[in-house]
Amino acid sequence: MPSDRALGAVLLLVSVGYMGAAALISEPEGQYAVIGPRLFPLVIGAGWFVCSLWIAIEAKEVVALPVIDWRVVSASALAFLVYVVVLERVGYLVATTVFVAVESRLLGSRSWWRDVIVSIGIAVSVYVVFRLLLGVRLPEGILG
Amino acid sequence: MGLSAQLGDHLAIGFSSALEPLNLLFGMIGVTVGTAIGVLPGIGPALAISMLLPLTFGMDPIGAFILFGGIYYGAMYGGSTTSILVKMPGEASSVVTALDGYAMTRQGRAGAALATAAIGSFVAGTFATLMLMMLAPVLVELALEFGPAEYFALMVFALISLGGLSAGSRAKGALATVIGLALGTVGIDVQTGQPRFTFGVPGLLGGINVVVATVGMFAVGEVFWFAATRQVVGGRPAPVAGGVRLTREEWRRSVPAWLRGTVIGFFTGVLPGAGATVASFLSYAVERRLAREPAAFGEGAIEGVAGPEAANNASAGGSLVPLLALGIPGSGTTAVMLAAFQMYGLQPGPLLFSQDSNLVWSLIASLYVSNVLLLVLNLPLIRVWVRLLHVPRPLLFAAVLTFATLGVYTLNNNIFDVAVAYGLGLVAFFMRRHNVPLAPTILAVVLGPLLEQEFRRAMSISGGDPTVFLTRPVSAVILGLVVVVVLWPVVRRLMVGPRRL
Repeated sequence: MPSDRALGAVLLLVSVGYMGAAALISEPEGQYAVIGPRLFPLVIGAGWFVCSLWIAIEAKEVVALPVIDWRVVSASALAFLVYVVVLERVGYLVATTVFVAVESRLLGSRSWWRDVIVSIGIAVSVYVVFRLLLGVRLPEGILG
Repeated sequence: MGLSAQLGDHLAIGFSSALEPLNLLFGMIGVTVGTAIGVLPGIGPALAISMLLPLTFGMDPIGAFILFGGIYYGAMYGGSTTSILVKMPGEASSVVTALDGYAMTRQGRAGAALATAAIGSFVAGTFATLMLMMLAPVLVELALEFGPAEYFALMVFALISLGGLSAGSRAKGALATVIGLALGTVGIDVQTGQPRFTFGVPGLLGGINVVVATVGMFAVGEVFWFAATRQVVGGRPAPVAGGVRLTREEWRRSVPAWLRGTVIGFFTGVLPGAGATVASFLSYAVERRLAREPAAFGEGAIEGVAGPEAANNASAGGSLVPLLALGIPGSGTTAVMLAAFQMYGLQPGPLLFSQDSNLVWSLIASLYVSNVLLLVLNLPLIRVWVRLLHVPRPLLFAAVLTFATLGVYTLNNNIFDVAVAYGLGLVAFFMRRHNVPLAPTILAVVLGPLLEQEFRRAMSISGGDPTVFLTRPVSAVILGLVVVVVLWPVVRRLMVGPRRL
């Protein structure tokens, strides 16, 4: 099946969900506004629906999609999630150092000592410039 | 007071502010950062400006816009260097430069190619800024008469043009626009206070911040893309033999190409949708058509470097015209710049020219200064720029991610924003995988809420009569243009006759 047909089908479902959520927006009663908050989302949802159909119909041949290394993508997404969850608890310096080192590794760097040195360098210089020189608030975490 | 005298006054004030030591420093940082990201493939001006956006929040807006202007011009210039030396365009707008630029390098004429790109960029940037300075105030005069109906029509035109002219499928360009519009509807409706698509999540009540969206889609999305494909772009740059200069004969051939490229680039830039890449390709096509030996193109014709490189720089100046004069961007990079104006609580357009004329003219003056800085800083430093390609990509993208995260976090000191940015990065990754362009989405995220407001305002004024968009002449003409853009493939087929599929 052409990948664009699958894409169109998925998008079609999303657009229906979006329109459903749009239909639930309550229109305030007795306001002077001629156009309420619901019309625009409904129109956008309809547009999305049409685009999805268009993409599905237009899909003719099977196009080779770029080769994706899904393990790296999911590992990166996981690393992002962990970083978001722990950043405020552990603090900027420690969390960022570990995150940058891990992410460099995931992105294909193959030199641990270099990654660690660079990640410490990035985290410390951001901390010094933004926290200490510019006074930007960064999470202190366990060092605070 | 005559218009030209007024212009002189404005410029004098602008230059005195652009040449202040601190602003000069920002200009220098801007062109340096801009050239660096121009050299590096995968990192463009829209990404760089969006990444720096939150970090400049505490700065004086004049300094910040001088920085952004420098980045924009610098990126247009920097893209050419790697196109010429390693056949690896740093930006899409320099793809066409690689054809003849790299051919010249192989013939040992890299110095001449680099020189014609650099001087051409300078000439084009300077003339484009001059034209920007002349055209923007005229447009401002016109825009004074505009009401909500006209602004609505203009925004529809900008969105349709960018979505419809994007490379590849029109369906996907339209989809990209719709996704952006949908993202823009999240949050409390400003007119009625009604929450939309917030699903009870308090962090969504304020809507998806434009800065969070651009950083997420451009920066985080790019990191995901690199993670997924790890496209290793290699190639060792050839040493630049001889000096970076032009012979008399090369000057004679370059100058007309620069000037044509400037005009083509500027007007392509003014129109929404087309932008630097289209400008460079158009200029290349024109140069080849006008050449005495068209066969020499692709084999190292200097016009093939001079024209496109002038055109992409001039388009940057052109694209600032609708942004500054109307507040309506027509490209990804200018959409991010509009987001920057919004961050400072400024609304580009006629009001900006009257209320913050100091900012407008400082920015315009700084563009002249940036051009000079680019020429002075860059020609001697070309070897340094090329060395940037040796920076290991994984570390580079990890650093991009760090700065993107830092910027999003410090915006509101809210970790929720970081989560949204990462989520949108994943969305951008899937869009990219399916060849859905990103720039229309960003433009729609920025323009969507304004579009809805102007529409509802126009309808309120007309008492609910939708014909207001067609009875006001300017709005009717613009909407007529929208129809032409939408129906363009049909129109062209009718004019040219059926062609093979």
